[in-house]
Amino acid sequence: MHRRRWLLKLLFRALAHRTGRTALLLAVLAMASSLATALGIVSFSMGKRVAEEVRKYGANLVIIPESARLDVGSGGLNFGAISEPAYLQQRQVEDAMARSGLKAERSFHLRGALHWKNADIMVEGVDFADVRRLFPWWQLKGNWPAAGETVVGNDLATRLGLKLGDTMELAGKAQIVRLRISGIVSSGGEEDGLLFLALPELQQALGLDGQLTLVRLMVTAGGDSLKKSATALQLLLPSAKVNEVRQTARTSEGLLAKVKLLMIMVTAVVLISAGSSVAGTMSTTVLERSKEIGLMKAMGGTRWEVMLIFCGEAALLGILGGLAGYLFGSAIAQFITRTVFSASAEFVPWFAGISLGVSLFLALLGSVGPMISVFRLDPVRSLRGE
Amino acid sequence: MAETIIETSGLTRSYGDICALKPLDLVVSEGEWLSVMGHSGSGKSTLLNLVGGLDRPSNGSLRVGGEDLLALSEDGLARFRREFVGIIFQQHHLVPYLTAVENVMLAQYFHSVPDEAEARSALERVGLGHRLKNRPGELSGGEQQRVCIARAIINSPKLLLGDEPTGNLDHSSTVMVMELLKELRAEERFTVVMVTHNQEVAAWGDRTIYLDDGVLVREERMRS
Amino acid sequence: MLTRILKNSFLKRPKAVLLVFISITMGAAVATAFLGIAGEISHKMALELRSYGANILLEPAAVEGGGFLREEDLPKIKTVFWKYNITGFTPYLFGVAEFSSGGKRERGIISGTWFNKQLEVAGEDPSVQGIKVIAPWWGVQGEWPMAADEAMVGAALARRLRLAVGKELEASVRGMTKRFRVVGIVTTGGYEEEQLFAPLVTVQRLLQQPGKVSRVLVSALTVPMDDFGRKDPAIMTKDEFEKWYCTAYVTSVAKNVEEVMAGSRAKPIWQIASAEGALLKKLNSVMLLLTVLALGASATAVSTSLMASMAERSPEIALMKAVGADRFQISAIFIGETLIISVAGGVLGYLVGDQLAELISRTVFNSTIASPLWLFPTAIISALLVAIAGSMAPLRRALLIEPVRVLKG
Repeated sequence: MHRRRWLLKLLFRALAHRTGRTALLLAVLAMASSLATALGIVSFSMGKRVAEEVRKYGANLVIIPESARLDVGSGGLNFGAISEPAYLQQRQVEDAMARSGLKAERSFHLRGALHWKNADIMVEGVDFADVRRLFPWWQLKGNWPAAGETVVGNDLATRLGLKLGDTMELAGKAQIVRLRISGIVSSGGEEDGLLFLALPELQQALGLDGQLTLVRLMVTAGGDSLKKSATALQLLLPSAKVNEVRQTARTSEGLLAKVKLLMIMVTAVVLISAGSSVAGTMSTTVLERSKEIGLMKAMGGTRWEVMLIFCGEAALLGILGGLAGYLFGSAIAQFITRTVFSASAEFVPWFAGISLGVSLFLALLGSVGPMISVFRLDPVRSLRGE
Repeated sequence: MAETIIETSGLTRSYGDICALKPLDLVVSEGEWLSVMGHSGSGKSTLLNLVGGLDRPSNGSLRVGGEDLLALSEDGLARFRREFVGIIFQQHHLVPYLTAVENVMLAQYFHSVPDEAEARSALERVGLGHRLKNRPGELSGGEQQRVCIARAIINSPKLLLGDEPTGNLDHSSTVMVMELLKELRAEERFTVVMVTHNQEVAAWGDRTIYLDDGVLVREERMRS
Repeated sequence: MLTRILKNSFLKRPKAVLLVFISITMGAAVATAFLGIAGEISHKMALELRSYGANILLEPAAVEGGGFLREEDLPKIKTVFWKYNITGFTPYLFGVAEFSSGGKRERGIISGTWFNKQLEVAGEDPSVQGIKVIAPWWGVQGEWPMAADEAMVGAALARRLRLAVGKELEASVRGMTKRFRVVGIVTTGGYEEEQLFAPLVTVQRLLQQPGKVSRVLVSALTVPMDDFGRKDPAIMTKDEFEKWYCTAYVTSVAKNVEEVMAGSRAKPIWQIASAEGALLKKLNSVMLLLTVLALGASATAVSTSLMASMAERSPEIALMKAVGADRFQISAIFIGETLIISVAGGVLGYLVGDQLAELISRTVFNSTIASPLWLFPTAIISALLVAIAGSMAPLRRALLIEPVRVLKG
């Protein structure tokens, strides 16, 4: 019989003989490596998931015309009157974004004033589909508007005594629009004092086809930092200013770093503690077999041959435990991401390698240490069971 | 005069302060059957372990089969053990999860290549042809010891060492084992060094040496 | 005799005992660390999320622009029911001013505010309030204004007026003029870049609005909104309203603050509040699941390592049985051993775990953590329980073994 096959047979025999022990070791190795896999996958996808979550805080880049001033005031404050109107070309922005290859969600805004009953009302043209997706914090009473309908800010509605279902006739420079109020929005922000209508309708009313005052971008900050994206975009849009919204951008970066750090530390703590326990269990079972090691040495096995047998056994356990651990760990990770983020965890095949690695490492770590001490002893003493 | 197989001079082994073997000069010639007798702790097992390359002397010289055991490395000793020596222990020391034939094959594995047919015939020679597939736990003491003998001779050693091989056996098993060893020696022509405290067992040999407190006190040659 | 057996058992098998000891220590450490931070972490995370900025806006209730809030009401914010949840607030007074510097003139907004103000309120701990507290994302080049004639200028405004740190500018409003020294330039990417920020008192004088404030931004720790929180308080029953008021929803905290500021209206800033609620909920449940996972894992690890070490000793048990020990005597020896190891391991594990919690909290959140008192007994008792549970099964099995079979080898 071939030596290698015999060796394998020997290993399986040894494992099968001590079913209880083998099961125990497999269980702990699988547990440790499934922990590694689960925590690994969770922290890996945590970054992305949390990044997705923090996008709910709003845009992290804004594009405004070069000559314009930011007159947006957070929290309903608005000093629109002091700035001269300036516009961005919608086509240009779309072009620049396509060329920069930036991965970002965008929403276009046109700010202007429409005349209603002897007064100017600040209005904003938006794409309501974008708004629904990108500004989830809007609290809307009523319905999202269809064509010819409008949404009015809470404060504005109170001030002008507007109600759901009212119809308004607003005069722009170019055209008059008739709008029915389908919803009232409150956000605690500047939106409370504005009237919203579909972007093309406002562009027509003001005679500003294809013009914008503001573009909000939500850049998924990947490997590239936000700052770099902003610079890249700025180069493509010489007639505009690309600003980083520090309130969301900087804070999100800080938060993500913290979450990642936390996950890494938690993973490290759990792995080290579970790992040392597993290696300990492993070594207990090797210590117990010093007699067997002594016998093999007495029979003329060299240290390497005997080492091969026992390490082979450990490695076999490690591989089996690692495979089981990967499957189990992925399931745990899947469960966590499902319950928490209601998204399935990404399938990360290379975690199988990590899982195997952890399990093999622990199995060998647990058996190499005591084996070395057994190997130092002469066979006589190990045979006597000292 | 036959060739010398074991030659020691001033052989000493001490464990810390305890001197298990005082300087010992001993010559064993090839094909000889040497019995070593003495009380517990007299140093007889120490001598056996030194000769078998299981232990290293503290002092003196030790040549077995032309090899200077002091000069061998750890792995050199392992090679020496598998090429040259077969050992039978009092406690058998069989691997519990392997069958009789596999236990024999384990010795083959360390020596060269496991060969099931050869291992089988070795077991048949010790009269265990019907228990090939049994685990040690299912064998009686005498049967286990015969597996050990088969394992010890499977690689055709020049030197067979017995550490009280019959110490755990009853009278009839003892006789059976000794008869078997005698028969095998006649065929294989190996040298035997056997430690025992049983006068009757010692009498199977050609020569008996008596150790007391690590010193060779008496030597007795059997009539042959 | 029992003590002698135990003593010898420990001394003779230092490795085996050490392995079990390490495993119990590690298990107890993980349990302590996780239980220690699990409670704190949601608080720490909530604090962390506060750096996204204020989540409540206080405005004059009068809809038609004009109204003001009173500065003298501000300290009352630190005395409300939810005062411990309010991490900071900042008042603002706005006005339009003519800025001039080096021959350049520019219309812009002047904001009077608190930057970093020591606030002493009778009966409360002194605190620091202002922009520095509630808007940590501000990128300031230079210094924060301290003196009454120091100001901070938005980056865009500074660019147009060619202002740099150390230069001076004049602001005039309706005939009143005031010179400011620029000590800082602020970058935010938002409307702040168009403004000039100066101490509140100075701006009140310049605008001739003494003691007045246009609005207040409040940063408060809140709990995520749920279905109950979204109900309109106006239509709640008395009990429901009580419950709503005593839950730190952003709406109830806002209501709470509104009550102490005369003539005010408090609005949650939903962009911040709703994102924060959602994020917090998720982070908390991840931590909860991880804690369960970690506790389960360390319990398994400890009990298996005990099982392994106990199973190894079945020959010893068989021998004891053979020399006539009954099951209780044997159990006493082994459980005694386990107890000693696990109490020692539990104590050491608690200490290590406490440090771990501290370490995590320091590295991640830059703050210390106080582990609750109940954690110490919990750590020890859980180490004991896990240890005993782990050794029970193998001990029972070992006790059932007939001595002959094991001793025969």
